[in-house]
Amino acid sequence: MTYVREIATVIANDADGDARMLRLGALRIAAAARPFQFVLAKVPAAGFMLRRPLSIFDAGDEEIELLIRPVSEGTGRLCRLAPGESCDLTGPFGREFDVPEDSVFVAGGIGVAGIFFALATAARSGRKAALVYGARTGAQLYAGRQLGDLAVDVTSVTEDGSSGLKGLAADFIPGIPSAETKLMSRALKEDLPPYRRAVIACGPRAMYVALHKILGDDARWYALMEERMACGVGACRSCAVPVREPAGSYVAACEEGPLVDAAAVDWGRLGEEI
Amino acid sequence: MNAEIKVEAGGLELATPVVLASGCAGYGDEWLELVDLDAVGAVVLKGVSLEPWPGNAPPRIAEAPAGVINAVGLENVGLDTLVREKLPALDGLPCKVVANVVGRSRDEYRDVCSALAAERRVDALELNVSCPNVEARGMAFCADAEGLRDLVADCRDVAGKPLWVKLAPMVTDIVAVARAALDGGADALTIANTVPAMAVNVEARRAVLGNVYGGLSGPAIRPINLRLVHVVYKETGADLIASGGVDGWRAAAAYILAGARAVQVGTALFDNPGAPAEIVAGLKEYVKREMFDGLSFLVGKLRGDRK
Ligand SMILES: Cc1cc2nc3c(=O)[nH]c(=O)nc-3n(C[C@H](O)[C@H](O)[C@H](O)COP(=O)(O)OP(=O)(O)OC[C@H]3O[C@@H](n4cnc5c(N)ncnc54)[C@H](O)[C@@H]3O)c2cc1C
Ligand SMILES: Cc1cc2nc3c(=O)[nH]c(=O)nc-3n(C[C@H](O)[C@H](O)[C@H](O)COP(=O)(O)O)c2cc1C
Ligand code: FES
Repeated sequence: MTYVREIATVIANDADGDARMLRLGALRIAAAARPFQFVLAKVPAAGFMLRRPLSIFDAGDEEIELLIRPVSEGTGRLCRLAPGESCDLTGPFGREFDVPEDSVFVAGGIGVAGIFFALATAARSGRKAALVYGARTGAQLYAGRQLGDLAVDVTSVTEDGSSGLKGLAADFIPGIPSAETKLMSRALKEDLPPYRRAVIACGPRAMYVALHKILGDDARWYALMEERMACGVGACRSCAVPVREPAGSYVAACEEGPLVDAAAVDWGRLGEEI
Repeated sequence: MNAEIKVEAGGLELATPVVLASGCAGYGDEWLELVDLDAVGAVVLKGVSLEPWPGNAPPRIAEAPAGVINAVGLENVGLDTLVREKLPALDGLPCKVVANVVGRSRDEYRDVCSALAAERRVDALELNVSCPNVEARGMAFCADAEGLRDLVADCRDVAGKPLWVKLAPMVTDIVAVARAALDGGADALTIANTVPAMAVNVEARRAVLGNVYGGLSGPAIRPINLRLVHVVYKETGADLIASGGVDGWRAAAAYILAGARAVQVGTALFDNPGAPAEIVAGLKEYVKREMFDGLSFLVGKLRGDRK
C-alpha cells in the first residue's frame, strides 16, 4: 500500500444538486488511486481535529474528483473550496477489490460517490455494468452527467416517485426477487431461483438493512462501510465494523474495507447511522 | 544530526524527544509512509493484554472543542500475536520501541511484562494504569496508591528493561500516585493519559460514542496535563514523559520547561502526520536561538520556579 500526503489544488468546484463536485490536481494520489479507495481531507479551517473521509469519485492521470454533500460544518467548509485554493489530503486509503464479472452496483444518494470509480472502471474496460440508483427524491440522484457518459445500464428509483421508478433501490435489483415477489412466492409455496450475481452497494445504513433483508444470507454482496475515522492507516482502531468471526470482534473499515463482504458483518451489532 | 535534541529519558537514549503515543501509533509501522520516523525517538505500541480484547462498540471517536474523545476500548491483538507477528515487523524501525501494557488484574500485568522481557525489539515497557481492576470492584489501578506501588513492583521484578508508568490525570493527589509508582520501581512516569469525557448528539438525543463515555485528548487537555507535569517534577524530580495535546514545538517546549524529558504525540498525528518532523525542526531552532547547550539542559528550567 502506498499512502501519501499531498497538498492538492482545486481545479473546479461545480454544483451537483445540493452537493459539490470537486476536481483536484493531486498527481501522486491520482496515480495510486484504485476503485473504492478514499482520502482523508483536512478541513481548511481552524478547530477541526479530524480529517474527513471522502471516496475517490473518479481518478485520471493527474486529477481526482470528490463528490461531497455538505451535511455539517466540515463537509460544508470543504464544499466551499474555490478553484486555485489548496486542499491537504492523505491517502489513498482502503483496500482494492476485484469486482466479480457481471456484478450489479446499488447506490443510495451520495453513496454513488463510493462506487462510481469501480463502475466506470468496469464500463471503460468494456465489461457489462449495471447500476440501480436510489434516493429519497430526484434531487438526491447525483452525478447524472457522469453516469450518462458511461455505457452503463442505470435504473433510477426514488422513494417519492419524483424521478424514475417509485420505491426502494433494493427492490429493483435485476434478477433479485423483490420483497413483494418473495411474499407472493411464499404464499404460492413456490421456490425462488437462486441468485448468482454479486451485488456491490454503497449507501445509508437503512439501505444495507433493506438489502440484508431482501438478499438473505446466500447472496454474494459487498457493502461500503462508513465509519468515523481518524488515521486511515489502521493505527487507531476508531473505524470499527462488527464482524461475526471471531464472535464479538471488529475489523477496521479503513484497513479491511471500506468495501467489506456483507456475509462477514455482524449486522445486529452495527452502530446507529452516523 | 540531532545531537542538540538528543535526550535520555526513562532509561532510554532517545534520538529526539518526540515519542509517538500509545493507541495513536498502532503497532509501530502503520504510519511509516506518512510520519517521518527519523524525527521520532520512540514509538509506544498499542496497549497489549494477555488475550486479545475486542474493544468497544462504535462509534469510537468524536470531535470535541480542541480535542477528540475516543472510546476505542483498548482493542488489541493480544500478547501472542504481538510477539509472533507485530514485533518481527519492526526490525528495521529507526527508533526505540516501547510496549504499552494493560490488564484487568495484577497477575495479567505481570504475565505480559514477563513475556515481553524476553523480546529484544522491545526497548522499554509502559504500564497503562488507567484500566479498571476487576479485583477491586473495577476501580482504576492508579486510584489506589498502595495497590499501584505493588503492581509496579511486581512488573519491575520481571520486566528486565526500563519501566514507564503512565498515569491518569483525574486523581485526587497526583503526587501521591507518582510517588507510589516510583516507589514500586518505575524508571519514568508518563503524564498523563486522556481526561474522562462524553459528547451528545442533540438531534438524535443520544450519546455520540457507542460506549457513552470516552477519553478526551488533544490541545483541550494540554493546560491540565502541563500542570500535572510541573507539579510532579517539582515534588519528585523524576524522569517524566509528557502526554496531552502536543501538536507543535511550542507545546513540546512548554512541557520540557515544566519538567518533561520527552513528549508524546498522539491526536496531532491524525490532523498532521508531519507534526513529529515539525516539532523536531522547531525545537532545534529554539535551542539554537536561545543559545542553550542542548535540549536536555532546558528540562524543568522555568524561570521563577523555586529550587
Ligand atoms: C470511507 C468513507 C467514504 C465517504 N465518502 C464520502 C463521499 O464521497 N462524499 C460525501 O459527501 N461523504 C462521504 N463520506 C461521509 C463523510 O465522511 C461525512 O459526511 C463527513 O465526515 C461529515 O463531516 P462533517 O464535519 O460535515 O459532519 P459532522 O457530523 O460535524 O462530523 C463530526 C465527526 O463525525 C464524522 N462523521 C460524521 N458523519 C460521518 C459519516 N457518514 N461517515 C464517517 N464519518 C462521519 C466526521 O468525519 C467528524 O469526525 C464518506 C465516509 C466514509 C467513512
Ligand atoms: C484513539 C486513541 C487511542 C488511545 N489508546 C491508548 C492506549 O491503548 N493506551 C494508552 O495508554 N493510551 C491510549 N491513548 C492515549 C494517548 O496515548 C495519549 O496519552 C492521549 O491521547 C493524550 O495525548 P494527545 O493529546 O497527544 O493525544 C489513546 C488515545 C487516542 C486518541
Ligand atoms: S481510521 Fe484509524 S484505524 Fe481506521
